[in-house]
Amino acid sequence: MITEGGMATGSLGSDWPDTGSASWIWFPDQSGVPAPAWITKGVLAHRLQGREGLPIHVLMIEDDPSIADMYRLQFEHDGFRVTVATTGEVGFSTLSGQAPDLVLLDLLLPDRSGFEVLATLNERFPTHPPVVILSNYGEPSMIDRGRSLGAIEYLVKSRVTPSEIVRRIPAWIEQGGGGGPGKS
Amino acid sequence: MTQAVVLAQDLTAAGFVALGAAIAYHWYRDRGRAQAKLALALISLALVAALGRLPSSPLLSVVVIVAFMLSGYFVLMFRNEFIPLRRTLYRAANVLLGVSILAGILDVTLLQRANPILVTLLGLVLITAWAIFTGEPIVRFWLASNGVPAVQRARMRFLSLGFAVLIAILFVDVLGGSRLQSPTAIIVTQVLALAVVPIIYVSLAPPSLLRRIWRMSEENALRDAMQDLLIHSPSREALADRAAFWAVRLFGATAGFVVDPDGKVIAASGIGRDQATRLAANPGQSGAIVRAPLHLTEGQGWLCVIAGDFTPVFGTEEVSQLRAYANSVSAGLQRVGVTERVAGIEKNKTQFLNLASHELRGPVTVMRGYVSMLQGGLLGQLNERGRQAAGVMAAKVSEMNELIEEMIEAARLEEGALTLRTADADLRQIASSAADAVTPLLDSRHRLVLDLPDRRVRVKVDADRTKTIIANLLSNAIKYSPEGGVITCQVRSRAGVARVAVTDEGLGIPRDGLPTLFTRFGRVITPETQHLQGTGLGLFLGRQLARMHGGDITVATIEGKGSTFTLQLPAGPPPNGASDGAAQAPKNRIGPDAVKR
Repeated sequence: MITEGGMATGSLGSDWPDTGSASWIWFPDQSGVPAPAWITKGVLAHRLQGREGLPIHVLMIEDDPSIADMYRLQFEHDGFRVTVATTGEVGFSTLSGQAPDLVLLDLLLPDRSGFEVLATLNERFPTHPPVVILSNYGEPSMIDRGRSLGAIEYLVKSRVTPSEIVRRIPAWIEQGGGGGPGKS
Repeated sequence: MTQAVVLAQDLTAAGFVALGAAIAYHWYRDRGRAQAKLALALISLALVAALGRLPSSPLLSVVVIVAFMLSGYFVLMFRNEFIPLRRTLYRAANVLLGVSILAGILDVTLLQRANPILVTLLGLVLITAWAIFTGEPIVRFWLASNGVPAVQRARMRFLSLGFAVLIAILFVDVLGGSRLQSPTAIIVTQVLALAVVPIIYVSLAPPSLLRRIWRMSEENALRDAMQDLLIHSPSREALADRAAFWAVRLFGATAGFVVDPDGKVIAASGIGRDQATRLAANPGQSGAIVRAPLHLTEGQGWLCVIAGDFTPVFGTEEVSQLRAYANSVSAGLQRVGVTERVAGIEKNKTQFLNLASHELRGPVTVMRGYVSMLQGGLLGQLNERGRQAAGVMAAKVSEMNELIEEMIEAARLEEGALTLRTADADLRQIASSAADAVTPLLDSRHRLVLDLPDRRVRVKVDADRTKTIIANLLSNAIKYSPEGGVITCQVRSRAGVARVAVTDEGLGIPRDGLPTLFTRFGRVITPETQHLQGTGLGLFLGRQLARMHGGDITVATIEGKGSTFTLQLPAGPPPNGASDGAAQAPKNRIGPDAVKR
């Protein structure tokens, strides 16, 4: 059930030298200089700053393939690595394997609710990556519940486009820091 | 004086005869075993009183003695009808009757010339037997009257009181002997005895005035109960429960229950449901059940009470009251049924609205996402026509999104689940972002003019929802100006009221459409507008949301010339610095370049 998104070819990220954990601005014929903070935190950040220099890995827990495919298209276009899990259980096995930098979580899943997934996540992976809830429901009570369970953002799917999500991902990862619940 | 004595005695005798005749007539009209016993008691008493006025003879004396003892005995038998005496007591009563009659006959025949003390003792035996016959029922009625409705209670107590006075007179008479033979004493006892006549009479057939007086204490409680029944009551079951409870209380019954037309017991008071169901299925089994029909749309139900011990005689008033009460219960049940059905339909509608709108969000998400990708070139470069088409699609998808949001907001409002998240904000900024949001809807014939003041317009609002309200007014202005024209969005603040006025040069609204304009799904359909799409929720929601903020939306319109919709909101205190926000140009023109035809 896990579908792996490969790294996008031709995008900036894949062409950049592996410089370890730091981010570098690279020019031809040069060994590179450390990137200033304003760049690493700026618009290009998401193309640069995965863990250990790898592209950002997004885990999308979403059972609707049309939505998952659409997001995969946008994310891969922007140089992210995407894993789609169609159930909460598959999501957990992804988390225990290749830890993502961010989790996008749907609330209506075939095996359990997204809230249950988040609660289990808090239990089983205390330092889990930041979680953003993407749901068809925008009831205040659900938003409050999601927040109280440690989601750093709660968005209604129909109100956002994939490109808007991409723009906000770096900030979410930064905000999430080392991961873990209740940071927001 | 002797004449007065005679007159008093005659009057008393006449009174008791009249009482006997009245009770005989009552018994003749609605015959019952219990009534018959009481009638026999009182007729015997009348006989005693009447025969006492005739010249005395031994035979007459014997008849009087027998009638007198029977009058007491039948009072006990009357009580026996309600609460049967134990077998031994019943036998004892019969023996006592026999012995006392024998003693009485001896007293007036063989022993007439004997020692006066012996005569007095025999008289005392008679009176004591009579007192036992009547005294026990007196106490029994008095005690039982505590738990019954006011009218029943009063009737039972009057009966007790009447007989108690008679016992007292008889004892005083016999024990007093010759000392009470003075004319004054006779007149006093006769007048007292005469007073017993109306007392006993009202206990049997109380006039309506007395009933009203007795019932007064209960009237308020009953009125409240009726009102409860007809106005409040959350559900059918709760209403039926109250109806059963009140039927029991009104009726002085031991239990009551309400039966549906299909035979189901929907409420029971003082009785288990299972037992009530059995009784409902077989009402003939127990004669103590009084039923009043409930006329319901589904058929005829029943309000049933299981009569108390004294109901058949003292509860005639309550039986008719129960029937009147049953009519109110019918009306109440009908109303609650209708209300429940309407509430059910409303709830279904709200649930449907909720479900449908949430289900629609999924497809809209995908459409919106891909259209934005098409526009952003992520799916390959589009030619000019493709870009135009993508623009139209984006506008339509966003329109669809707005409709879904409106439907969800309406459902939330219906459920009472809508809460505002207010914060300090600048109304100019909210109006600007609303104008930005509707830009894709403009075409080449429209011009949107944003007229903003230099100073910050402070408001404490739910910014997202206020933006939605303004965007909705703007999109309406665009939609109902099919010929184009200038649409002005003017923001002002004066005298503590912040206003956003959206003016168009469009179709305007006919006068007869104004009352429905702000109602839910209340679209004003005219030949000019019938092809335009809309849910009719926008203005309804806008006004509700504005009112939740402490503001409102008003409209001024001229048919064929255009409309001005004004959103009013309570303004915050004026800003300290006049330069605050002055960088914003007073007039912003938003061109029609977003979508070109």
